[in-house]
Amino acid sequence: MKCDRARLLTAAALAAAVLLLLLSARGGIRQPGAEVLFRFRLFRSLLGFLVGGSLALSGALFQAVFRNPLADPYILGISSGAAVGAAAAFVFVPAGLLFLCVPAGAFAGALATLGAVLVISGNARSADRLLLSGVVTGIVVSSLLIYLVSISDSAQLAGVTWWILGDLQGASPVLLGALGGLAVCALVSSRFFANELNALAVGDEEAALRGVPVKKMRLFFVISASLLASSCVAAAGVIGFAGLVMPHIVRLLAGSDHRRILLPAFLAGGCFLQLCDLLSVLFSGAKEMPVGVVSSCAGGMLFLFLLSRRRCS
Amino acid sequence: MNLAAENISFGYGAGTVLDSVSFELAPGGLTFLLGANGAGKSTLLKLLCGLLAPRSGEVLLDGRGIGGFSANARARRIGVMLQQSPPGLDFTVEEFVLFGRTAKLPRLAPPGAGDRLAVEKALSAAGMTSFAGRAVTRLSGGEFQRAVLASVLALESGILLLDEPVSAQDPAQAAFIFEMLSSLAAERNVLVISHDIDLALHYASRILLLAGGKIFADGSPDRVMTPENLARLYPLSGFTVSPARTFRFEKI
Repeated sequence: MKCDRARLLTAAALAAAVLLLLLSARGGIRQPGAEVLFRFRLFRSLLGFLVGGSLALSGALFQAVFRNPLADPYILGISSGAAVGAAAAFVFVPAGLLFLCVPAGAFAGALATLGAVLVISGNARSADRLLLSGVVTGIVVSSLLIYLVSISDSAQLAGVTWWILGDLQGASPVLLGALGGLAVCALVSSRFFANELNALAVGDEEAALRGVPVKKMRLFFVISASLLASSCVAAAGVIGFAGLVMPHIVRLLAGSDHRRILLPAFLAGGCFLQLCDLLSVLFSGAKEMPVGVVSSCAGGMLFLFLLSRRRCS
Repeated sequence: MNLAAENISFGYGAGTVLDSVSFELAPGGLTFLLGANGAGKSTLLKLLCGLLAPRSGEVLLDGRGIGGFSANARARRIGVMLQQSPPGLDFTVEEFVLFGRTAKLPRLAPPGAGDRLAVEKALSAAGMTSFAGRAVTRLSGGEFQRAVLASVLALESGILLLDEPVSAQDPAQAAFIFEMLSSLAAERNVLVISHDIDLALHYASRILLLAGGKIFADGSPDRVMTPENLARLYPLSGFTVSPARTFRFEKI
């Protein structure tokens, strides 16, 4: 029954993604050069799909590894690390190189934070230790961000703020190829080890009793999920709630067995951000609304709805 | 399938919890392991399933050192029930019980007919069939304990090591579970850790008493459960052991 629901959800999310892609590519054309704009909108919608999907997959992996439904892709301080890397690029790099240095800096910042968290936690010796290391590292790294903001001028500050709010305008074929390749690798490998992920979600000791090499598998899932989140932040800034809420919705509809829900969660996350992007274009005035603002508002409301449903039931 | 401890010793830090413990599990009846809080019962269980490695001595599985088996090979042979709290995610009871077979599940294909049947039988044996579709986070403590037991039974292993399997059950449910375990023990090696002397007296065919890091008595309930042994097992100054009248649920 749940298996059928997961298949139905996968098919529905796939159809919705294609529909949203077409709608996004056709809509929002307000300037001359329609063909160029069509491609721009198509790439942008595809980037939204890949970023939303990757964040949802990353969230689903973190929630299972930490056995915590409130875990999100940024739980290990990755967004703070990426923000510091991006802010450093805005402050120290000439404007002409920002298109390259901001995503590179964000990715490097996220990876450096992940490395620090893994070292501090003794290579993810326990889920609790990893979680605490992530939270503390995130706080320390945030103080660096505050320092960088304090020494930036108004133009740099605007750049950092816009980037932190989430932005899909940097879509390019190279970026899409890289992000798509990573997402496919993460999806396939996570599905391959889904039995181990299920066992880890029950408990470390229980997983070990079921023959799972707990430390190795936890490290594998944490690195996969962190790489996904880091790439998303580097490509599109900090996009909130997609990674937290979408796995919840999929679990609600198709159960919690990770052998069934990883692909639907990815597709649903992709649709969610595509829809947020479409809304951000539709409801923008003279100045475009950052997609991160829409995703946080919509995701927050969805989360509150889920919470109230849970309380009622 | 055989499981034996040969002179195993273990300790945390500089202290010693178990000192040269030896015994062999045999099918044909339930074996109970009794001991006071902190005596090392759960530690011994974790040594027997390979979750911990002894400081000295060896655990033998089918005559071979347990360290020589891969984690998956060990997991397929030994089903272990530890004290456990519900997971944070909303797995259904059926999913949760199926995960007990992780070591035997296909990697990419859906669970086969054999897996489904094993889950069905395990749910029925633990009295959890009617809870199959419910989320484990919405079970009572006793129901969740039975779900954990079902997940261990679903593995269909030749050896079962159970740490206080009925500590959260009412007396009727405890009797139901021990009747089921007694019938399983005819063909499998079943070791039960318990604090319930009445249950041990009624269902055990063999009892091991653990105190001071050693098994100081090993035999049938009649031979082992003497007031002297019980006083040594649960030493508490100012208290003495006396036979008491109890009520018990029995299968009709």
